[in-house]
Amino acid sequence: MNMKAEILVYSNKTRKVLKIFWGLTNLIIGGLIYIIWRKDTLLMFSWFNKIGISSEINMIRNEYKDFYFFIPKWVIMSLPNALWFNCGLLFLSIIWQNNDEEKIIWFVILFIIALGIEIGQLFHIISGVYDKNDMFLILGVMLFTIIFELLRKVNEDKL
Amino acid sequence: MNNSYKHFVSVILIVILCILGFGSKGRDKTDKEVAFITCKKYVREELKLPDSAIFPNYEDVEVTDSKSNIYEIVSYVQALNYYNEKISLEYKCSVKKIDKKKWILINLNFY
Repeated sequence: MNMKAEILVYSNKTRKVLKIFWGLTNLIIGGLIYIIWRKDTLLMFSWFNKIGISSEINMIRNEYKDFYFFIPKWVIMSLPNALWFNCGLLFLSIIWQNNDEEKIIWFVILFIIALGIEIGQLFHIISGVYDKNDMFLILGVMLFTIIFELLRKVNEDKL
Repeated sequence: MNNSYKHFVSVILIVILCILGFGSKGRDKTDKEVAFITCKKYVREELKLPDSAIFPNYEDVEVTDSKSNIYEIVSYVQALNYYNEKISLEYKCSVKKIDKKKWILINLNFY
């Protein structure tokens, strides 16, 4: 293996580890925002009740509930959705690491699902409240991912 | 990893993400939950700084229902007073369900 190929393999492995770490971090941060600061009438809270962890969840909520007043509302209401979407894109890019055509198809599928949920909420087809910030953040994440993937492709072609 | 396996993993990933997304959606509230939400609204109206109000979670509140669709809640609220001091107020609230969307206040007392 020549040096350029070695650099490529090494950077691919590092990138994969970083993507897994960042994807999981996105999911955990988004999940914690929901668990701590969102309304307890969400479906996930009845799931927590069923698996018997309601009291632990309530303990965490009570501990950090005062921060609610200091955190911007878009962080609580819209950011978890964008983190969820970003996590999906990151994991899909790991799965389709060496196949750009398939990767784009799966990115588009996830993008359509994420936007479809918001549009469904706008027309009251899906339960939940439509929020334009959700749409902007999803579009922002998609745009960022496209730019990131294009830069990666340019760098790989240079090598 | 061959392509068909990758497709399978991608589908599983999207299904998991959809389940997580579905869990973040609301569900229909029970009458007791709506009674608590209605009482919170009336309690807020009585506070000097309503935006500072912090209520306990629904699971920690006892809501009793009686005949004639009347629900009684004994609970507390934490809020800031005019001097920016955090105070805790206990209250007893009774609300009546008229129909699915209409609820009225019967009684609200602070202790």
